[in-house]
Amino acid sequence: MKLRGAGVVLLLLTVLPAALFLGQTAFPRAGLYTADGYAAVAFALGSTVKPLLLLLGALWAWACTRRFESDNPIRPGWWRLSLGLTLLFAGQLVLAFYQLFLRVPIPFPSVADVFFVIAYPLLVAALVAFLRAYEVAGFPTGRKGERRAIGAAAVVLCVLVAAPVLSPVLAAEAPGIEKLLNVLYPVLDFVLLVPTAILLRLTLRFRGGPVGRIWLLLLLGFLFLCVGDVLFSYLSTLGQAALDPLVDAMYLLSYGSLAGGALMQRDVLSD
Amino acid sequence: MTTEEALQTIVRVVAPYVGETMARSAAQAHCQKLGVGTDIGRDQLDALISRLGSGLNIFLGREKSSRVVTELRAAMGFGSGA
Repeated sequence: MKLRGAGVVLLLLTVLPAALFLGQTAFPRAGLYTADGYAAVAFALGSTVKPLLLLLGALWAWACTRRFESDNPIRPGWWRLSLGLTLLFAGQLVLAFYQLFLRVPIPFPSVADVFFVIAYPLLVAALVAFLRAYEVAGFPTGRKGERRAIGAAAVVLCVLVAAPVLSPVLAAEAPGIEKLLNVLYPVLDFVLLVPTAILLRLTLRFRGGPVGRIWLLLLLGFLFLCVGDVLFSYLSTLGQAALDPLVDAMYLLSYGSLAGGALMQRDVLSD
Repeated sequence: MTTEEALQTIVRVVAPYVGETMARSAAQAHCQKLGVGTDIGRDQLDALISRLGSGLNIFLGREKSSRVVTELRAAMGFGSGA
């Protein structure tokens, strides 16, 4: 499958800012990052590109939802993913409004968190629907025992990561709602990781074709989202603003991958 | 037609969508369920193609999976009305 117009734009929109932020994390004292005006440009770039990637992802996911027939078992998954991405877009739009128009530090929590908190259960439900569709498709996707083992391993991994990540969050002096959200986001991400891990194993069997590439991109999107959220909760609790570019890079890679997967699926449906 | 010949044709037509590994293992799994031996009969081939088409429908949509099924049937020597 060749990378065409929208794909090239999406790749540039994702990779260039993400590389910029990853570079800033690795080399914060490099000339580019200490130059006058860099902070303002980076701030505007992050605030603009994140909602843009989500908007594109949501539009392409809705296009896939419409193009899959109403009785297609995978359609409910795409419908939930479309709605989830739309809500994430609404949340990021609120954050961008604070950053670009009001020019004030983003309050936490804010209205954006309402959208984010509703989006996550939808994303989990989308992954569960995708898993069901994989089973209905009748392709050999491994034994149920293997899937259970992957799910169990993902749960164990989440518990191991949750302990060091959540302890400072729980111990921090913070308003109740802020603390609740700082715990809720990583917990929702850990829930998201379990079906993601199972689907990732199934997807590897499709390597070599567009179906494998679509699903690899979508699942990478979920993985980057989880990493971004866990880092955000952990670092914001510890007040480590120096690593904010790393969090931004994770979100950019997540939203770009999700949008890329939706775009490729739309192209497969329209060819 | 031998089953191996049918599998090779299926892999050639379906692999561009789901990859060679999945194309072959899906066809083999369906053959096993259909009780196909070293040779495959016309009815079994028809059932095999239908099953593959249903699975592809989930990832490619009905229109495209129908096209793949048509291509498979043509490659297997089915007439247009078969």
